[in-house]
Amino acid sequence: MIDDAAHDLAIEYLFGSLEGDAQREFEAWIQSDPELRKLVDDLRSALAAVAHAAPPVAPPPALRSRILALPSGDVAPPPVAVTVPSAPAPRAPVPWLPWAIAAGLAVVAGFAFLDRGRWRSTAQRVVADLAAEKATAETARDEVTSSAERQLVAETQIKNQGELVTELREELVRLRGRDALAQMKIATLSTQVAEFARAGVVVVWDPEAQRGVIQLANLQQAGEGKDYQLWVIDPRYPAPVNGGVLPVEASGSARLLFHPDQPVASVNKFAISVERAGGVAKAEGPIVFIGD
Amino acid sequence: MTPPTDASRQRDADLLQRVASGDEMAFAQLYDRFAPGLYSLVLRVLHDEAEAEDVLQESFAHVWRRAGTYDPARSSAFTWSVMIFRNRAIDRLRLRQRRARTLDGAATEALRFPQQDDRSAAVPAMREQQTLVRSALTQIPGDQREAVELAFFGGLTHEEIAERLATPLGTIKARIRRGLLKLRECLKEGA
Repeated sequence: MIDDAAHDLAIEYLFGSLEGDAQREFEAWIQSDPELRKLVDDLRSALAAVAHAAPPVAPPPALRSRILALPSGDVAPPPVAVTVPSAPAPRAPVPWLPWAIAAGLAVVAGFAFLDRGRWRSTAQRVVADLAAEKATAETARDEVTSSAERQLVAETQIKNQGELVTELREELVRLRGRDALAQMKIATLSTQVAEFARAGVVVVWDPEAQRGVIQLANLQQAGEGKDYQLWVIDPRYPAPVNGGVLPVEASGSARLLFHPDQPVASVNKFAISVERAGGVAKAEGPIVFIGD
Repeated sequence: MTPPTDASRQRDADLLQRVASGDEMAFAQLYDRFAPGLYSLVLRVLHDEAEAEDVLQESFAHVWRRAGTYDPARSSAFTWSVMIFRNRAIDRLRLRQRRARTLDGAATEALRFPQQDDRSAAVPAMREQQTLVRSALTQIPGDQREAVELAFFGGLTHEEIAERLATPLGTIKARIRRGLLKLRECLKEGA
């Protein structure tokens, strides 16, 4: 006789919630108990049927060609978001900026990458260059010992990276062959709150696609029962438009591909506030970052 | 049990077994039968078309490589596929964002599906199956269905669902258990 506890274990197993020893022990139990195995098989079928709760959606036709080319091996692996490896813990006053800008540009490159395959190699080269630039900057930073020197180097890096942003943006615009990317907005958000001084926030916004990516570094957790939430400030609306809750990793970094809740015609500013866990429909909490 | 007719189920199983033997035409037929439902599933989990396409491609590659592990005695080909695609989509979701924050709100959020698949009309057995399942889902009490969908589409654990719904853990477990058992019974009756 299978009791409720066994049912619950079977369900957790099927949802993938059992891990490690618990998973192995349950699988051994399945092998030794035909009744339990039958229950798991039945529940798996019922669970899989839940997939039909969503109406079928036609995948893009081009995807069919790519997937059906898999057996012949004549297909590239799925595109992966282009990212720069996480930076080590910073020691300079503003060490996150090169990384954050590099990450933001990687996202820009990622947009181009996803939109048109012919930019792929160039975008990857750009990102590789950025990664190399970042590594060079980090090496230089590590060699600086006095705080005054660190500050000087950081300021130089900011200037250099700013120039790099401009150069790469122009290059990508040229590669894209149209001016859509020129419309892409790159914003660095700043804070007046001392406890967030070490954090870095970069937003890349594509108005044409109505989507953006926000990348954060060195951000502390929002606190028990709270979340950081992104807002897009469009003068057309009386209140900021919700951009979504920011998932902050234990390392203090976060990255979110966001689609604002409402169409955004013109971005005046981006802002991040601290809100109740799970986010709110209208901003209520204190704004900790803002920028345009 | 999943509700497709025996003939339809047998056909899917045959296709998958032909895929296991390296039959590319069977792979194409399997794609045409399953892709709209599986893409919809992955899209509902990820809420991102580009990532959904990645997962669809990765998962079909897995199907191509691992079709030989399918056991028709234990599940239908569609059930086997759904579990692969769902698990990969949840894995991607967990990679992308920290689990508790990311999944919050995802499962019940109304997703803007780009377009329903007109080609599904070409697969009457699948349409029949979808109709039967949706009918069965309507027979499950709303709180049970909500809990099941949060776990299935959102990848939330029982504990996370309890926290999200501010409901005791035991109640959530009971809702999911009863919901799935009820669904199982409805599908058996409809099969």
